[in-house]
Amino acid sequence: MQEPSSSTALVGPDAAALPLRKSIRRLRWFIRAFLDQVARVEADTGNRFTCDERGLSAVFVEWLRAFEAQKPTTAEDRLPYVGFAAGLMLRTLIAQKPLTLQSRPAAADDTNPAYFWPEGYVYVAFCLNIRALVLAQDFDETQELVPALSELRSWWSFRENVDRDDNLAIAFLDLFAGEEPDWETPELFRGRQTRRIAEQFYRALPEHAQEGQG
Amino acid sequence: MPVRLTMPLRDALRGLRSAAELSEAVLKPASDLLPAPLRDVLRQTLHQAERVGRRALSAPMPDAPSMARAVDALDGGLEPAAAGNALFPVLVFGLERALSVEDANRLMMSETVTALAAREAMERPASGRSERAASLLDALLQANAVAPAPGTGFAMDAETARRAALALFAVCLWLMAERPGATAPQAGDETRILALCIALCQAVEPQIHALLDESGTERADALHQLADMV
Repeated sequence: MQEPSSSTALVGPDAAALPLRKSIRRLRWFIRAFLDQVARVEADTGNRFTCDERGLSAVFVEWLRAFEAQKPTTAEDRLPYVGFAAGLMLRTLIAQKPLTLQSRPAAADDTNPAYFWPEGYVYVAFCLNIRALVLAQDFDETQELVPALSELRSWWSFRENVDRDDNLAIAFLDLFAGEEPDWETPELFRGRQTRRIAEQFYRALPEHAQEGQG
Repeated sequence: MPVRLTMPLRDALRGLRSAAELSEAVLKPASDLLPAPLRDVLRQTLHQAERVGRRALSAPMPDAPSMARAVDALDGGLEPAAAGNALFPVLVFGLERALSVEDANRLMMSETVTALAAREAMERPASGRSERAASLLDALLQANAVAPAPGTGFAMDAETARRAALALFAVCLWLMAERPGATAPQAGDETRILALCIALCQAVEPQIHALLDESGTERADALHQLADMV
């Protein structure tokens, strides 16, 4: 898996005028950034894709609605919501499938995630790049990628699980980005306050009751 | 054939072109009944009409000053008559493009009706870009500016009404969309923004369909929200 692209890689036409977190909510920026990501992966891997732009517009609309539906109101939840929003994006891309692989190099190594699941590789790269750029621009944070991102067994599990339940894409993106995934209900955003209350609640329960919760 | 035809004549030619585009489908049931030479002559005549129609009717892409004037009209910066005149060529270009993307060859846009509807919409009281865009959309819908071509035998059924509304909504959205302000407009910017608006409308088609039964205020709100997404 390549490292996230430099910040110039995904800068769209109005990125200079708007913060990235706002630019990403514009269809023109989203499509340009996604096509830019596709071009970069094609250059890196030799894979060739076709992209359904009408499908990409549908991805954008569905993602924006999901994004707005759970957008947090407190400032302390803005940072964790960046990762969640990136996960929502990955879920939507995987569900809508706007990319189709047309060809790949003859000697492609199937143990490399980029060739094992070429479309999924582009979707993950795009979401991680967006996530990294927003974290850097708005929070001065660096995204730490984990070894699982380049391990074939992780991608086997990733592909098989999201095929069954595309909500798990949100948890897998957290895993790849070194965050603690929520495997039970990944589609629900839990802000920091909710997490604190939940932790206190479970700590207060007697041990046998906690076992019952599991 | 004159380079610039008068507006009603262009509408007539546009109707003929729509019929010509359907020639194969129209001729097919009768093809076994007609003698082969007559069938070929009829087909060639219709194809010739289609070629001539395409040349005479392709609306020029509006230049930057024309687009700026149309947006100014929508912002209330022009008198109604001038506003209608400013919007008209932009609407014609946008609707031609939107209908071709929708592959709606059963539908034609009437320049005459579009011009009258644009003028009428700009005479309605409205405040702000969204309200004027909603008035424009309403006037174009009410006047059937996009409708089945006369003589093709097609009625305005639910499917054609859906395609017409989608094209009209997309073009009104295009007029509302933000333009790159800091840099000089690039060639192709407008067609790109229009293509995005068409794609966005296709993606939210159920919402647009539902809006057809809503009031002007709700349509104005929806146009505003969607314009922010483009």
